[in-house]
Amino acid sequence: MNISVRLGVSFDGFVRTQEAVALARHAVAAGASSLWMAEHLGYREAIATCVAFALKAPGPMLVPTAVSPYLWHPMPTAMALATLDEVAPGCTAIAVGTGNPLFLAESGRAIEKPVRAVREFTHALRKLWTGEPVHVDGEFVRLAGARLAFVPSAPLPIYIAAIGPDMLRLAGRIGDGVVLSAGLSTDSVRRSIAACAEGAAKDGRDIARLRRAGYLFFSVSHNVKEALDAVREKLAFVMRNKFLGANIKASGIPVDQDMVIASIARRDIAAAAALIPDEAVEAFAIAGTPQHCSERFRDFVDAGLNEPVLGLLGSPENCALALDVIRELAQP
Amino acid sequence: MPVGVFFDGFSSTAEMLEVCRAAELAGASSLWFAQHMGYREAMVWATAAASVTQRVMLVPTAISPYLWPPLPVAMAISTLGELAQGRVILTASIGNILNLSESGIDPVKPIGIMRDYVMDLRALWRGEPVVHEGELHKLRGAKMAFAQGRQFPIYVASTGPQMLKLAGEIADGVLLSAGLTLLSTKDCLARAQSGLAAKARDPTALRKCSLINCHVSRDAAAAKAATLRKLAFLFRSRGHAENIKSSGLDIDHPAIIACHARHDFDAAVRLLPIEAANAFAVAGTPEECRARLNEYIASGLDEPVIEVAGNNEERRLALEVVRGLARP
Repeated sequence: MNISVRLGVSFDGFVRTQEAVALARHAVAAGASSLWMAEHLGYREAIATCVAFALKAPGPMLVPTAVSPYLWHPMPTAMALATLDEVAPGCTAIAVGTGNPLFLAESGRAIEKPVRAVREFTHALRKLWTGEPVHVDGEFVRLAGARLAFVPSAPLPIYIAAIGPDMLRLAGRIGDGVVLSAGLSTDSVRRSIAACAEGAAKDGRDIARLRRAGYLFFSVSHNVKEALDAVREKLAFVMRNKFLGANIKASGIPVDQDMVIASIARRDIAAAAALIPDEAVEAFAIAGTPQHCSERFRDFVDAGLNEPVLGLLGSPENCALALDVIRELAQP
Repeated sequence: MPVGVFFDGFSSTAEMLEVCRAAELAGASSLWFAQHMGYREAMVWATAAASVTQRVMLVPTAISPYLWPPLPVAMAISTLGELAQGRVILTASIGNILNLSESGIDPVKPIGIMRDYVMDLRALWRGEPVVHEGELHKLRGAKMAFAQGRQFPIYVASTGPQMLKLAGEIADGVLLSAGLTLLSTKDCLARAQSGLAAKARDPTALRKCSLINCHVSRDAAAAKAATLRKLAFLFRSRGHAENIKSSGLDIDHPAIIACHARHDFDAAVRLLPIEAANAFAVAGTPEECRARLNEYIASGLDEPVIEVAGNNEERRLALEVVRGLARP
């Protein structure tokens, strides 16, 4: 594999934390250089889980993702990340993103002016991590002398979780990295990175210096049907995000996203999964035999990802098979 | 006697973990992690402590509804509960007014908002979709997808009379702030008790705990000087006005708050007389500290929560005090 590619593994908070920690240990042993923990509202909390990773599976970069400025205040977020950095020095990063509109609405939050909200939040985090008193009078962030009494060991990388073109351009302008949603086709990955490059160029930044991460559902099995089936529910869950509509439309694959969203809103994940055809799984995820998955992984790297983040799916035996593939891919 | 140990977030994570291990071995019943704004984050520390302890309760304290919305808190506590096999208590409080204002927060309607917060957290932990248009937070179907039905005790921390009464009415425990005189401690407990009585709750339904600054040393003068620094930090809160008055000491409280506002901490320390160390805290030789702690316990506490502070020798002495209280 290209030596500049760093391979990560993601967790969605659906399984018991102890199970996630056990898988994280195997992933690190297989060569994963980062562990990403999703902040899905209602599921296991990302920063707490990263603390458990730090202590039980030490070494890789830890990334709570995506922390939403609509729900989190920058001061506690800065404190939590700086504390995590003290638990795992030099291994802490964060992904900032608006969050899922459906779940945010359930917590009484509406996504308004998302680019501005993410920009202000990111700016505030960086200022707070300097240890200086911070004064910001923004539309979303107001700080009047808030100050961290301790600071991270080194600047903490901030990834911007982005789907839409404006947010992708913002990632190119201000992010240390971008992290793309799960459920994108390779064509969407190319388009997304082009938008990041456009943003970077606008501010005279070098796109080559931008970390380009993306979540990829990764289901490996000697039984192709089993591999495809393992992805369906997860793909349906991410497709509750209306911002993935353009990606689905561009693929030409018939997925009734409105029905998917309605099913997830009533927490009927099985009904949502039934709306995801095989061709959608093949286009928007990596699923199949070990050989096929290795090839598809390279397709996504060729599309522009240099930090692919794999979400391992399926039975424990198939996750073990996926770890074997990771071991092979992670070798320099 | 159950005895807790608290951490203020001022020391390094490595030191905190070392004290956690030692405190559990010494017989401590609980470890409390203060959420002081700008210092180590309480949930992160409690989660880290879960990995080095087996028996003690872990208590992130005190989480403010103004800065931490209910759903992420419910998620974090349940995640910690999963890691610590249920050994978790959550303490909520309004938070320090000065620090909240630095974070752009004006803590209006605190009583109603705390009542909503406790109600929302309990509803989320029941696992049902929660619909509640609260004063501060609106829940419109938010739902926990794991650990449904697993409740965690919620304590309310305060020194204000109305909030203490609310704690007595609805909480599983009350936590008194550090830095109280004995007289204030008794007054606060009486106010919490009045809330308990007003709702005709079982008298054992409310655990009564208090943070107590404690510095044990062979050098009593050094212990007292170190304690003044902790007190100067605590007295940045306007809520300590009555407490300071109850000591009868000549302390310019508004001047201390003003020092904090301009981040001149040393000046705040200089405004405290040495007598403050014994009036508001426990500081001195092991014998002096044991005697003073017993006075606090006799005021009606179910669980004193003390610091293990200072250099290695002083921390060892403090752990001896914990051992003595836990296994008399």
